[in-house]
Formats: sequence, C-alpha cells, structure tokens
Amino acid sequence: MLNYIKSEIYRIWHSRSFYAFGGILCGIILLLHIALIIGAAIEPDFRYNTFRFSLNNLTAQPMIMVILGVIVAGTLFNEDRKSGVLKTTVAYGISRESILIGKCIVSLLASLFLLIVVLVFYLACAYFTMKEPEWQPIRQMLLAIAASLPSAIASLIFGNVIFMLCRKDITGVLWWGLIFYVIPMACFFIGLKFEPFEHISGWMPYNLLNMGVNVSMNTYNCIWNTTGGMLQCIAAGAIGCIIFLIWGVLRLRRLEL
Amino acid sequence: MDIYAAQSRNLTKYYHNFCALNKVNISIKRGEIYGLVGDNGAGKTTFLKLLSGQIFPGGGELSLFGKHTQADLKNARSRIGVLIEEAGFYPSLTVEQNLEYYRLQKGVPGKQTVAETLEMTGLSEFRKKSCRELSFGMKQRLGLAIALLGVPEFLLLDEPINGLDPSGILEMRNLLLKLNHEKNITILLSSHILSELEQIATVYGFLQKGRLLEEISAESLYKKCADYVEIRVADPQTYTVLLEQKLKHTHYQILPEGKVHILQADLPTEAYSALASDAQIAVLSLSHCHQSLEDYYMNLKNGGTTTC
Repeated sequence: MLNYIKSEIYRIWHSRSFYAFGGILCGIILLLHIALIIGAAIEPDFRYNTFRFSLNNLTAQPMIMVILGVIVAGTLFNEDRKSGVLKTTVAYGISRESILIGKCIVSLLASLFLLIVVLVFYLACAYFTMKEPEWQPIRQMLLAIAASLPSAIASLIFGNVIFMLCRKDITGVLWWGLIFYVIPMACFFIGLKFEPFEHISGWMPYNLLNMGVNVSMNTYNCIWNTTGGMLQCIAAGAIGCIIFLIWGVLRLRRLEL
Repeated sequence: MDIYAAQSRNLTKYYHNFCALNKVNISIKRGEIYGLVGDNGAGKTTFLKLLSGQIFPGGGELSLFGKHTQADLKNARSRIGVLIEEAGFYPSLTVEQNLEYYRLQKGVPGKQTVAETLEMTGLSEFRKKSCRELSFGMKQRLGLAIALLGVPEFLLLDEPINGLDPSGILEMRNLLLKLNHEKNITILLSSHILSELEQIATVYGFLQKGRLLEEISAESLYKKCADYVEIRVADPQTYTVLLEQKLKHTHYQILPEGKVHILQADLPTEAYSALASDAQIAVLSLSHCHQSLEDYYMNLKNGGTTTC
C-alpha cells in the first residue's frame, strides 16, 4: 500500500487538475472580495465590505466543506476507472482494499494541504481588502471548519468509493446527492411526523450543519458553540467515515474491472 | 520452483447467464510463448483478466507460479506484466511521468529503469509528450512499456500489435523474442493476426465459445500441418468415400467448389489423382500445399479435429 500511496502522491504532484482546482477556489474567493469592493465603491451605504461578512460566507454554510470533499475525490480520482489505470494497478497485485485505503489517505492529505492554502488565502484576502478585521469571525470560521471536517472526510471517502464503482461521473454525483442531501432532507420531513426519524435525521451532516447554524452580521447561533453540539458534529462525521469505509471495502472486494 | 508460470483447472466464468469460459484447463510452462487463438467472444480476454485478477472466476482453480490461494496470487501478480485491452495510463501526464508513476507503484528500484524501458520500447523521443497526444500505436507501445517495467517474469498481452504499423509489428515481435530468449520471460499473448502469432508462439491454445478446443506445441502443430494435397474433383462425396476405403485416409476435409483437402498426405500426388481417374471422377485441379495456422484453426473450429 505504501508504494501505491507514493505513486499517487507523485501523480497528484505532477497533474494540473489538482492545482487548477486550488486555483479555482482561490479565484472564487478573489471574485467575492472584488465584488464586495466594487459594491462599496458604487453604493455609499454599502455595509457588506467587512471582514466579518466576508468570513461569514463560509461560517454560515459549512456544508460547502462537505461538497468540497466529494469534489476533491472526483478531481483526484475520477479518471482512474475510465483510463484503465485501476485495472493495471489491480493486475500488479495491489488489492482493491489497499487501493481504496490508499486513495483515502492520499486524498485526505491533499485536501488538508489544499484547505490550509485556500484558508490562508481567504484570510489574507479578507484582511487586506475588507474593513474592520476582528477575531470573532475567524474563531467562528475555524470552529465551523472543525465541526464540518469529519463530515467532509466522510464525503471524501464516499466519493472515493463511488468513483471507483461508477463508470460515469454523473452517476457518482447523483448517488452522492441522494446520500448527503435527499435522504437527510427526507428523514427531516418524515421526522416531523414520526419521532424515531427525527432522532436519526438529527445525526445526519446535512441537518446538523444546515439546521443547526444561524449566522447573521451580529449573532452566531451555531451548533458548534456548545460542547455537546461540537461533539455531535464530530461524532456524526466519524460515524459516516466508518460506515462508508466499511461499505467501500465490502463493495469493492468483489468489484470486477 | 514450479515449472508452470500459470495453470488453470476447470476454470469457469459466467457474465450473468453468458458462459465466457467453460471448464478451461490451460498450462503455461515457464519460458514458453503461449499463443491464445480464438474469435471475438471466445474467452481470450476473459482468461487474461482472470489471470491478472481483474475479474473473479465462477468456478475452477487458477495458479500463478504454483500459487493458488488468494493471498499468494496477489503476491504472484507483482511478478507479472499486463497489457489487456487498452493500455491504462493518465492522459494528462507525460509518457515518462506515467512510467514513473507505475515504477513507484510496483516498487521497482532505480530511476534509470524508466529510461531503460523507454529505450527498449522505442519511446525515448516521446518521453516528454503528453499521453493525450499519442497515436494509437504509441499508446500500445506505452502499454507494453508499462507491462515491461521491472522486467516481469510473466507477460500477459492481449492483442499487443493492434494499431501498430508494419515496422512497429516487426519491432514488437523482435522485442518479445529477445525478452523470451535473453531473460526467459514467459509470454502469454492473444492475437487475431494468426500469421503474426505463428512467427513467435511456441505453444498454442485454441479457444472457441469459452471452451479450450486444443492445446498444442508449435512443433507438433507443424508436424500435423506439414503438408496437404488439395484436389478439386467433380464428385467430392464419392471421392472421399474412395479415399477412406481404398487409401485408408480419414484425415481430409471437404470444402466448397468440389475441393477436398487431404491432410497428412504421405502418398505421391499422383496416387490421389489416380484414385479419381480410376473411378472416372473428373479431376479439375491438383496441388500440394502447406497448411497455415489460420487453416488449422479454421479446420479445428469447424469441428475438424479428427480430420487433421
């Protein structure tokens, strides 16, 4: 497995798609700030060109991290099956389980690297272009990232499994949407009528990170601001990681290529 | 050390209800160049995929270098090189980067291995080229280069000369012969181009509709197919009856347009024409021919095992 990890790190280091993805993320951040600067230049009473508003864009929508998880998996590994690389790797005696675990480790390392680079760029952009830099929005944003990171890793693992299983990217994306959006939403609405579903839906990342977060210009009513809430976010993500990893190993063990 | 690089016993594979391989017994000795012959859908690629672990058997047993448990097979696969269907590589990386990727993956020591493999497969001048820009023939070469990384003990090649130009075919043939002779690499290759296979294979396996029709060495095949007489007569049915009764010849084949192929024809050509003229059957043509692998395969495929 170590050889597989080494080869994947080499590939990612030399492929453009990973850097392009990082570049796109930084580009979006830059565009957001440019839009805010232009807004302030056009409208004298514009009150959104603040450090707080800039950072709150991420703090208010931690599901972005979960979405980014599957995009990273897709960016790094969607070619493996289509290009026939997976077949060759298996033919060299590397087990499907080792490939999956190797992919998860490599994509996690790549994601964390990307997260650090993009986060530093985000903070620098906000600090140098926005008004009233302050500590509280930074703290809240970091807490949002910490709370959503386990679920983002679960999404990354799910993405790695699904892109190995599906020949078409779109099928993988639809499965991801079903598991991370449709089912949690359905459970939430069913839970309004049937109590057991309410408990189950309360542990699903979409419901935790969407319903449990209310951010405005002045207030942060967020689930991660209580110890219990933060632990629930971390536990939900960790459970997701374990479930998707076990499911992936079992499902891929008999995958014919 | 086991004398076989690969062996299958009653190997069976189903794709849903379709039987792709039906109790196939194939034995490939170390150092052999084994030519797998068969039409599309005969089960050649399925057999290669089973050997390489890309798919799983539905029944029977498979061994590589004498190992047959799942764990041992995985280890044994690190000693093989594979090119099945299209070569697997990343289009966005260069030729050299793709080879380096696989070198790291296979744990082959020494960075110079990549340069050596590029040189061996004639890809040196394309090493900095993106794989997306390669022609089909070049992609096949890259596939072979990937398979050859680290000098495997056993090469599995599925239609390796597909898409190669005539000089590429010649180079590929010479390379495979060189690897076999100098490094004693066992090679299993399938090809539709039987004339090409005929020039390098030392053993043949003929597959049809998932069944192994025959496994035969090139030497035995050559003896079996050495010569035959082609006689075109007005009444082939009567002629073949006479052939069996008077000359005790059961090795023949009736073809369209009154042609009869007399296989293993050990009598002088005149004896066969005299047989027809004595029975007042008009002889339209008579020639002494050599049977090719293609003829042999066609004969075998059409149920002619007893006639050749």
